[in-house]
Amino acid sequence: MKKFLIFFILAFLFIPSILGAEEVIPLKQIQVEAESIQQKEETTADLSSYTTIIYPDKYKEKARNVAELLSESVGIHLRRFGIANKGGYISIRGSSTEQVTVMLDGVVLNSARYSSVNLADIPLDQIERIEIYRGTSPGKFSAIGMGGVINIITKKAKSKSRGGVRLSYGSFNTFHLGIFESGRIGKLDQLISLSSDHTDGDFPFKDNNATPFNPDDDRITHRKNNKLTSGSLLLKLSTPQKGGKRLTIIEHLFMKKEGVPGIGSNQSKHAYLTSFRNLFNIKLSNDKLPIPRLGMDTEFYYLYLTEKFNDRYGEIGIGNQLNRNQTDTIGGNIIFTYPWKNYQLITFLMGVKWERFKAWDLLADEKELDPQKRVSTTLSFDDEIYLMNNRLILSPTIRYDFYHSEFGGITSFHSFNTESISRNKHTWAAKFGARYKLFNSFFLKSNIGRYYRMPSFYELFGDRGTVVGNPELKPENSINSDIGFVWEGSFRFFKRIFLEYALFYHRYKDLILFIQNSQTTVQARNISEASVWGYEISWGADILNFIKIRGNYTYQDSEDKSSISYWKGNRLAGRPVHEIFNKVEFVWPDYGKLFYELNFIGDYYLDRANFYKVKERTIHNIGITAWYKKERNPTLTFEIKNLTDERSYDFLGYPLPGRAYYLTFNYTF
Amino acid sequence: MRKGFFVFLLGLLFIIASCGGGGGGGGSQPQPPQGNVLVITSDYSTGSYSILDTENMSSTNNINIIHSDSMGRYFNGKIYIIERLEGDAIIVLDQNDPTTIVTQYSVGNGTNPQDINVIDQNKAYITLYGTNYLLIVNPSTGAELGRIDFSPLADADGIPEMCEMVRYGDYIFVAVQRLDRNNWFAPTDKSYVAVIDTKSDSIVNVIELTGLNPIFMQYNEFTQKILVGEAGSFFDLTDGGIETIDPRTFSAEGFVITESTLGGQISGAFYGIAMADANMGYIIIMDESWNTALVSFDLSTGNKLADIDAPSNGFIHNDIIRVGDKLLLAYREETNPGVRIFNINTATEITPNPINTGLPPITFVIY
Repeated sequence: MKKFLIFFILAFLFIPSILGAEEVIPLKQIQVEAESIQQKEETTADLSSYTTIIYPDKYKEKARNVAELLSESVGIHLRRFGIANKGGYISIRGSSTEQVTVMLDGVVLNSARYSSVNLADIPLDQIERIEIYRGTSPGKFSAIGMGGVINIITKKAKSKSRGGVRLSYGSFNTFHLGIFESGRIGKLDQLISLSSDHTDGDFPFKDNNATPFNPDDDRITHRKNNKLTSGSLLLKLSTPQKGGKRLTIIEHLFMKKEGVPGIGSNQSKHAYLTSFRNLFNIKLSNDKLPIPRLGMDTEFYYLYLTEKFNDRYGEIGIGNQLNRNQTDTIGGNIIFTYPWKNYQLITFLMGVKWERFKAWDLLADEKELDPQKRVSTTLSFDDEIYLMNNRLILSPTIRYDFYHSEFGGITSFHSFNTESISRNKHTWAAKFGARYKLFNSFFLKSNIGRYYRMPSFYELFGDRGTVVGNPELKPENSINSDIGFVWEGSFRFFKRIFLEYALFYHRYKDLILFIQNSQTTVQARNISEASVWGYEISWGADILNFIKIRGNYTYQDSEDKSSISYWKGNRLAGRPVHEIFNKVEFVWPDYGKLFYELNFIGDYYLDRANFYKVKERTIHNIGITAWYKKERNPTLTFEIKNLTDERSYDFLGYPLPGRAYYLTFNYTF
Repeated sequence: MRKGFFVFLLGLLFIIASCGGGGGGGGSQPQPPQGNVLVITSDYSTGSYSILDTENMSSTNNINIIHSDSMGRYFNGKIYIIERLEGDAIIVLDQNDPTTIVTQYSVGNGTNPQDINVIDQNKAYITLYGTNYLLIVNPSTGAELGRIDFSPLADADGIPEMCEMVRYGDYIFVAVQRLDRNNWFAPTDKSYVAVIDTKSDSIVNVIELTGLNPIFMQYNEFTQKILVGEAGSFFDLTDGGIETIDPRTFSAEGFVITESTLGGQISGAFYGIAMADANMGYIIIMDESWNTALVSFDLSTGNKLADIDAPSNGFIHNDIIRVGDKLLLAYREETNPGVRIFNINTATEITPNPINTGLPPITFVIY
C-alpha cells in the first residue's frame, strides 16, 4: 500500500515536467441545459471519472423522486422498501449502501451513526442537478465513498424572477405538491421552495402467511401501516456576484412521519418513525484574493438530524421501543483553487467536522445515554493537469484524514455499561485518473483509486445492549479501477448519438460484518472481503426532433471473498448481474409526447447464503404528456407505472407495488 | 431505525426475542433410540437443515430452506420444525422422508412460537413467546383447538414469555420466563414453571424457581427429574444455575450446580445440556468476554469436572445433544463450522474436523 502512496506523490511532482506541459486550461463556459459531454465537463468535479449528471427539471412532468431517478442511471441499483417514497438506498457498482457518500450542497449527509442515506428524503423539486461519481470520489469534495459519491446541488437563488408549481396525484392516495419562487429581494437573490408528499402506501400484494410451503393459505392483502407524510422547505439568499465575491445562505428543513409496516406477513399496526433534518449552510466564494488567480470557497454548516421510533407494542423490533436519536454536526471547509502555470488546476481542501450522537431510551429507567462523538479533519490535494493541447488530462488526488472518536460508555441496557472509549485513526485515500481525447468527441478514460469507509458509531461503540462495540475496528477499504470511453456524435437523421462504456473492478477489503458474540449480542468485525467487476454501457440518440432514446445496461459480477466458509464464493446479496433501463419518447413539439420506459432487473439474492433468489422482473411504464405550444409549459402528464402489474419483493422481503396510475401537472413561470 | 442496519439485527432479534434453551421433549416418553440426526442450520439470515450420518461422519446439506430462527422436535414419527421470531409457523416432516415437507402451517403472525409438545396425532401444545396464551392445535393440520390463559403469570408488560415444555405423564411443564419487554428482555422478580393438566387443559400448579430466566428444560431419564437451566441476566455470570424439579411432587429443589461453579454464563441454544449418566453431564457456558466453551460437570457433587472445549473467539458453541454414546456439538466457528462429535463417556473428540453442514449448525432433532 505504501507503494501506491508513493506513486501518487510522484505523479504530482513529475508528470507535468516529464510531459513538458505548457497548455492553457480551458475556461469554464456558461452552463447549458443539455446532457452533452460538454455540459458534463462544465459541471463535473472530476473530468476523468465516469459521471452521470441528472437535471431533475427534465423530469418535472413525471411523478418521480430522487431515488427513482437515480435507479434509472447506469451502475446504480436501488434497494426498494415498497412504495417509492419509503426508501431510497442505493448501491453503486456493487457497493453496499453505506459505501455511497451522499452530499447535499456540499454537506455530507452520511452520519457517523448511520452510514446510509435515504435519498427519497430529498425533495426532487428543490434540486438543480445530481452528480453521480461511479467508483471515484473527486478530491474537491470533503468526503469520499468506496462505491462513489452522489452530489446533490439545490436550485440557485437567482435575481431573475421565476417560479413553478408541480402537483401530482396517483394510486394509493399518493400526493405531491412542490412550489418554488426566486427573484430579487432588495440587493439579494432569493429562492424559496416548499415541497410536501403523502401516500397511504396501501397497495395489494400476495401474502403467503409466512408459510411458503403451504399455498393453501396464501391470500391477497393490502400493505398496512404504510402511510408517509413529509414536508420540506428550502430557503436561499445570495449576494450578487460582485467583486469576485458571493455569499450564500441556505436553510433546508425536512420532516417526515411514516408508518413502519414490518416485513412480509407480520405487518405492524402501530409502529412509526418520525424524522427531522435541518441543514444550515453558509458559503462564501472569493476570486479576488491578494494572490492573483487564486480562488477560495469557504463554507460553514450545521446539520441536525433527529429520529423518533415508536414501537410501544413490540411489533417490529426487540421488545417494546420508544427511542429518540439525535445527531448534531458542525463543520467547515476551505477550498483553494489555483491555476498554476496555465496547465494545472490545483485544488487544496481543508475540512474539519464535529459530530455528536445522542440517544434516549424513553421506556428505560436511565433514559439518556452517553453521547458518542467524533472530530475529523481532512486535507485533500487535487490536481488537473492539461497536456498535449488539452488532449490529455491527468487528475491525481491525494487525501489525508484524521478521526478522533469517543464514547462515555453508558448505555440504557442494565449492567451493560462499558468503560469510556477514545480512539484515534489516521487514514488516507488517493486517486489517479486520466482522460485522453482520441479524436473529436471521443474520449478514453481510466481511473484507479484507494478509498475507505470509517466504521460507524454503531460498529465502534455498539448500542443499547444488542450491539457490542469494537473500538479496534479498521476502516473498510477498497481499490477501485475502471477504463472505457465516451463518444458523442451525429449522423444524418441522428442529431445526436451518445455512447459510453466503462469496465470496472472494485476490490473491497476489511469489510465490516456483525458477528454473533453471545446469546443476545453481536459485534462488528473486519472479517469480510469482496470483489465486483463488470461493465456499464450507456447510450442515447436524438432522431430529428421527434424521437429521443436513452438507455443503459449494467453488468456486475460480485463475489464474496470472505473467509467465512458458507458465504465464500457467493454472489453479494442485493446485486443483480444484469440491469437494463431504456426509454423512448415520441415528441410532437407543439402538443406533447408519448413515452415508454423499460426497466429489467435480473435475478439476485436477498441473502448472503444465496438461498433466497428474487426472480428477474421487467417493469414497463408508459405515459402521455400534453403541453402548451413550443414553450412546453404548462404540462399535464398521465402515466401508468408497472403496466403489466408485475409483483415482486425486494430487500428483506418487502413486497413491491403492482400497477399504479399518476397524473402530474407542472407549470413554470 | 435504519433499514440498512436490519440485516444483522434480524438475526439478533431471533435470538434475543426467544427463549434459548432446550428440553428432552418427551418427559416420561424419552426420544426414540434410532439415532438419526437432523441438523438445523442458520447464518441468522437464512436457515436450512441437513441430515447427519454420525457413523460415516458425513452430512447431506441444505435440504430445504426454512426460517433462519428455527428449532425442532420429534414426536411419533414426525419431525416438527418450529419457525420462531418472524417465522411464526410449524413445518412437519415425516421421519421416513425428512427431505419432503409434509405440511407447514401458521400459528399466528407475530406470535413467535418456541416449542411444541405433541400429545397424540390430534393434540399438541405450542408455547408462543409473543402472546399470553398457550396454544392447543391439531399438530397435523395446525387447526386451533383452544387456548390456555397465561396472563395471570405475566410480569408488568402483560406477556409471560413461555418457553420450553417437558411432558411427564398427563402433565406438561411450561417454563415461564417473565422478562421485561420494556427493558430489553431483562429478568423481572420471579420466573416459574407452570404445570398443565393435559386432560383438563388448565394450569394446575405453578412452581416458583430459585433463579430467573429458565432458558432450557430437559427431562433427565436417569433420575426422572426435570433439569432447568436458569440463566438469570445474560450480563451476570453468577446469578444462574441448573435446578431440578421433581415432576411427581411439582416441587423445585434448588440449584444443583451454579454458574459460579461452572465458571460462566449458562448458554446453549435449545437443549443446552446433555447427560452422560445420572450425574455427569455437559453444558455450554460463556465467559465475561462473550466466548463460549463446552464443560462437563458432576451433579452429585455440584462441581465442574473439566473444560472439554476451551473458550473460543465468540459465540461458537451453540448447542449440544446426546445420541447414544455420542455427544454432538453444534460448532459455529466462522471459517470451519460444523458438527463435532465426542464420546460422551470419555469426552474425547471423534471427529478430526467438524462435519460440514452447509450453513452453520444451530441445533438438532433426533428421530
